[in-house]
Amino acid sequence: MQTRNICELARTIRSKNAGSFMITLEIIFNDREVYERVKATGAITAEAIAEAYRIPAEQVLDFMYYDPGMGIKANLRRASASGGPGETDVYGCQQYAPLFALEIPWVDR
Amino acid sequence: MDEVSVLVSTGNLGDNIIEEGTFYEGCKRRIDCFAADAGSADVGPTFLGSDLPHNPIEWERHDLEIMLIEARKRGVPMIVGSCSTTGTDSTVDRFAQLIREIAAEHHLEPFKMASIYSQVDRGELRKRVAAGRCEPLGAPYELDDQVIDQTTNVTASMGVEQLIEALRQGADVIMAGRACDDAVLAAYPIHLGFPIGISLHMGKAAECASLVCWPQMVKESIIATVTQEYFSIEPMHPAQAATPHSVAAHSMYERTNPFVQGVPGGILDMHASRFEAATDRICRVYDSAFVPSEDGSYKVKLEGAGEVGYRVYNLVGIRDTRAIRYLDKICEDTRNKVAEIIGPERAGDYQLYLHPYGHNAIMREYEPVSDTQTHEVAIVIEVISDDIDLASTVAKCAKFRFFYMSYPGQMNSSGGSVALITDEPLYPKNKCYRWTVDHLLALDDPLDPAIFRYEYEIVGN
Repeated sequence: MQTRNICELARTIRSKNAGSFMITLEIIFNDREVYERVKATGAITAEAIAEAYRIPAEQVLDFMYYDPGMGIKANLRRASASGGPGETDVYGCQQYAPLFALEIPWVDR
Repeated sequence: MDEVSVLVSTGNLGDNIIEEGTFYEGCKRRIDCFAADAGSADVGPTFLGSDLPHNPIEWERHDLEIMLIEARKRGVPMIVGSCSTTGTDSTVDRFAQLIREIAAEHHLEPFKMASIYSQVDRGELRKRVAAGRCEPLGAPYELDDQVIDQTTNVTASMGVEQLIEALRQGADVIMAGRACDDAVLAAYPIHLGFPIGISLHMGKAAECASLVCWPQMVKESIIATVTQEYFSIEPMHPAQAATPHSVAAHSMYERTNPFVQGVPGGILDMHASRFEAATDRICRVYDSAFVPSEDGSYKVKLEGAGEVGYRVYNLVGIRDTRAIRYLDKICEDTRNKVAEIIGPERAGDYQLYLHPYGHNAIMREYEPVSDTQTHEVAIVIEVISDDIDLASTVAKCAKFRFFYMSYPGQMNSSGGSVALITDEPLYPKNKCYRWTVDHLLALDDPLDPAIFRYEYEIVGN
């Protein structure tokens, strides 16, 4: 199966605090057609994200496609709140890299 | 008034300075209100917990100065929420004092300033908890006396209601404690009678100033305009555009859900929001709605942080790839040996964390890569204790055990076999704090005087 890596298709892949106890993951596209094609493949799901992070699927919360923003979103609960003892990503902004592993079935038209 | 325009120049007043070029570009237009959010919980719990400033005061002064002078020239309101990052009572005083100094320095005509305090007395909070008025929001546990005992400072985040009260009292300048960032921008339009849902969504979209536009720039000004039908965003930087996509995409930023946002007294519902291009640089958003809570309740967010102890760091580097192969084992050996030497009777008096940078320090339990490929790593040794001497001893002990690490296939014989960045432990200026309170507090009256307190004064001449 031919695939394209998510980094070739998306404009932005990022993570950030959503409150002090949650981290939100985002994949944002800047081309409506690409976004719709990615969405239609069904390749990005809560399960696919869980696999990329090697965590149980139930830890990937609130997975959703957000059409107005051409975005895909999911949340992870922090093991410990931001900035406390032993915590190492106060802004939650370096938790997205495993998403780079996402491969999307893609046949060039 | 058919429309109201708010100049928004920063998403976090004082954490760096407003770019003056686009600020004064915006000032050439009709501006009805200058508003800025100055707060963030993103910076971590240290500054709320210690009630110490996060930002250099010269940056805060810069932004307050340019905003105050332009607001007073026009006789329009200036609203700043969540003063100096945390919005404690002392931060409101700090900003109010800056306003007085700037007014005196520029000989501004007299104006009325409101200081709104929203720090919550812990005794008051205990009463509210006992009365069953609190519930968890982000924190996965109930608020109780024990959590409050572990908390040094707590704030309540005000909505538009508390800001509008100050506008009704004729305040020209408002320095507010902790506030919802959207409320800071939406208060004046709602005060004038513009739709709540449209105004709140404007506040939510515009609260980070130029970050809502594309390409992304920081600290550049935008004009956010509210009408009866829609709100619009227009960047003042000529290279930026507010597009339906950029504005919608910003709805995802730092939020768990882009369709729904909880606000005091209800929700902002954006399921039906329509994002339309008015021009290639101006986006309009229609049909966002405020839905009052079904049970009529009015709840504000409580934010609290508490002290954990002194924190001491050591940093050791390893370039030996044969050691790196056994990094997990080396760290475990270190932990075990430290526990043995410090002794079980003191095990509860300190916390030791080893952060192996180059391996899994940043993502820990979410790190999918187990097989480290790097040729060098750094281990940050973090120790926390109420007793600073014990913290130093434990940090030194961990460093020493790394010196004498042993692993299969070791080529280095012994002693001093990690690279030190400095020969002394590292002591942060502040103690270690943690988030303790992330809960909701239900109020019978949004202007509950035990939670929100007002001071008014005439400033100038």
